[in-house]
Amino acid sequence: MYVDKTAEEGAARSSLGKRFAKRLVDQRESGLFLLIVVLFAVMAVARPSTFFTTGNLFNILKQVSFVTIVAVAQTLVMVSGGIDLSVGFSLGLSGVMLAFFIQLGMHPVLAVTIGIIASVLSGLLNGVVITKLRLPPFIVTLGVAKIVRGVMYVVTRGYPIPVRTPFIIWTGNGYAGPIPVPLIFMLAIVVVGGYLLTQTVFGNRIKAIGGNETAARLSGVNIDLNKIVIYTLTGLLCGIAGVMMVGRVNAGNPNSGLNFDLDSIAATIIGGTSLAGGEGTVLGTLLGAVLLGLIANGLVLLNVSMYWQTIVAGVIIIGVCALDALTSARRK
Amino acid sequence: MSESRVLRMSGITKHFPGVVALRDVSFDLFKGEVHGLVGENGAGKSTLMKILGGVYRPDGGSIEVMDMSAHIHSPSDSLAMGISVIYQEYNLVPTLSIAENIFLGKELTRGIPKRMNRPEMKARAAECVARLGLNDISCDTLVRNLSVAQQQLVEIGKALFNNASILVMDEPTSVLSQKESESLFKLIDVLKQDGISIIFISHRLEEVISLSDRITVLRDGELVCTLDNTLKTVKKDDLIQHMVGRVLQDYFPPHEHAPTDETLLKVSGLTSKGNFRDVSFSLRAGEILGFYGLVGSGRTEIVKAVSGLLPYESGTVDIRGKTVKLRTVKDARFQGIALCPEDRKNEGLVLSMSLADNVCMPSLDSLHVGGTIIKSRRNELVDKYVQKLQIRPALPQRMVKEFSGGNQQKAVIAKWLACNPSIFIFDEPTRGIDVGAKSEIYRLIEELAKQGVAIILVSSELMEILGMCDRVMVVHEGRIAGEFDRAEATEKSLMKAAAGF
Repeated sequence: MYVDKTAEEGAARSSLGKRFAKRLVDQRESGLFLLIVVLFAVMAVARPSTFFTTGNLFNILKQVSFVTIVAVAQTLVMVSGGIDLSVGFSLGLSGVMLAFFIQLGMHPVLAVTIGIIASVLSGLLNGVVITKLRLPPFIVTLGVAKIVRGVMYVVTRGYPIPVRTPFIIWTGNGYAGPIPVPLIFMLAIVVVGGYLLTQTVFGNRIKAIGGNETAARLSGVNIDLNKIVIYTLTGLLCGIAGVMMVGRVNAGNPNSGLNFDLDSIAATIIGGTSLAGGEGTVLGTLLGAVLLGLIANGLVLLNVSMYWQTIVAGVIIIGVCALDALTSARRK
Repeated sequence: MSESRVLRMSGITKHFPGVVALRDVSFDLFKGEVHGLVGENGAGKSTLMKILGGVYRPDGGSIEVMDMSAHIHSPSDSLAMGISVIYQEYNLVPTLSIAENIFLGKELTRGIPKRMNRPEMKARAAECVARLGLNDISCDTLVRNLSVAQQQLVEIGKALFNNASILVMDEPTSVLSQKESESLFKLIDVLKQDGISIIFISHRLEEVISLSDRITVLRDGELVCTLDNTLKTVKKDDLIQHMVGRVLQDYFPPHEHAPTDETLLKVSGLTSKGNFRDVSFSLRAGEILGFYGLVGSGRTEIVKAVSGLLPYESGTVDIRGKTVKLRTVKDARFQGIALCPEDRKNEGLVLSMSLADNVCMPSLDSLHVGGTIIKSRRNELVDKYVQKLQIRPALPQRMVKEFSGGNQQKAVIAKWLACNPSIFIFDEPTRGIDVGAKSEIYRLIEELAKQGVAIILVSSELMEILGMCDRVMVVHEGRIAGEFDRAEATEKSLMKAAAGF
């Protein structure tokens, strides 16, 4: 550029502090982070002996890991303007398939591979039907969810299939030093997902498709191909989470992904992803999932009944989004 | 202007169910030329350009780009041939930055794993938009934070970046202010010097005449003529005549209605905080009362308050001598007030519903029995008003978004006319529609006044106010700045009052 660079940089530096402060106030993530810190402080004071222990904190993160992995996928889908209601059953599918084949005597590594492939295929099915039949994602993924659920019941006749393979159990229940293995998987996926969305051409196109599909098409973006990749990738992440889930509950259970659809959407929306598509961050989704996990854990430790937890979670979803709508309206 | 032909469209024909949108239309374009394209709404301008842009496939005819036969099957085919169409609806991604929009579809990358080369994209985008006079804004800015004029520049920048040699601008000035339009015209001149050929579509004929080297006129899907305008010698009246196919001697209908003595509406001291203060006026049956003022002066807010759309803090509204409190549109409708709003696409119509559904929407109360809509009654009503307003094509089941702007506006009017209002408020009824539809709407307003309907006409077009109204209220910064009789109202007096002198 022809502009006097040093002058520009000087000006940028002097306002850096101001810009940082403005960014902190404007960004959904910082608000969420603050909320988490407050909740954390409250719990640390209210239940110092049970809440504020390494064991409990890792336990929260471990529990959050599964839904976060699925929610990262959900974030990509929702930023592209879609929605995936089949994630929970796609997660269950890989677990059920791998358990079924291990039970038949197949080598566990091969069984895990088949399980993950099954989930990938269900994602691919979503993508292909959505783009080629031009149907709304809501309908297609709802239908695929039912189909996948049915397949699982056919395979298992409704009963969980026990799995005792050590490395599979390690993925869902193991520890690397003090750190739970699922947490490591989750962090890796968050980093990769965040990189994908913010740094790559693919991520940019996801945002473009969600922001204005016509504009993206007129710019020569292959909409169908990108959407198919997004849903297939979602299948892959659900498949991985499904294997870990088998490790956690020691069985391939057709019901293990129950509620993951709505929980992943909740975490994504709390994290600031727009329902209309076009914007959203993986970091926000992570914070959304952590917030929900923290609340669930806190309510248990405060001896609040499980049923009330669900009600509180509902209020939080609406509250956070209402607060955001109010503040962003004021900013305008 | 050099004589090399960059585009030739010959014998283009396009049918839509029930209508022929284009019949054997030919069009060509030289290098470095601005070619104006005019015609009434529905004449086929947009369809022709959508064929060029690859959105529609023609049913017949051929296209040659740079003397080579061109098969345009998709927008990307068109882009690859150096054709960029800037449609009326902006084709940018609001949630991406300027740089990301310009590079969308051909992003620059670096490193392993491959990632977006943001600094490089930003620098090159900045260079590109600086050329267009958009140099005081960072290319990291999200497009949704830009003004319409700025968004338009980004689109032009994007087109230039695609090495466009043919640029189509469909109504680029309809959303711009006077000043913004002028800088766009300067830019068009620069682009022309660079050898870029521009197809310029606009309803503002003065613009077309002052910019274009040649002007092509379409009417009802057919080519009327292509006029040479190198010396800017084409007359506006001639253009209009070609467009409508007859001499439009009088743009405005003869002033035949006469206000009666019966005061229908009396507004006293109406105030809405932040919108307008202490507004008083009265309106008689059979009278056309104009509201003139600059955009943002509070005209729209005043009529919205009178229609129950905007709450007011103090003041009274009397209808037929009785003070009423208008809180909702239903209240207003019950009092016989109808408002044809300023923004027909967002406020006037449900674009995704059919013409029939839109027209009968406010009248549904009289069309149902126990909640079930009586089809025959509904169709009768719809047919009556489609015919009365001559909405074209007369296909009630067609989605309203597929109609041209002028016919959409007629649909809004039909919808309220069906409620038999005694006070009809028109807010900018002729914005963005062609001369033919304009004069039809003027005639209709005159006709209503003759039947004794009291009419408020809000407009920022002086000629419209002067040509139609019995009396004019001028609004300036939320206050009534003056009241003028037909005899007193002149261009000068109204403009002075509107400017606050």
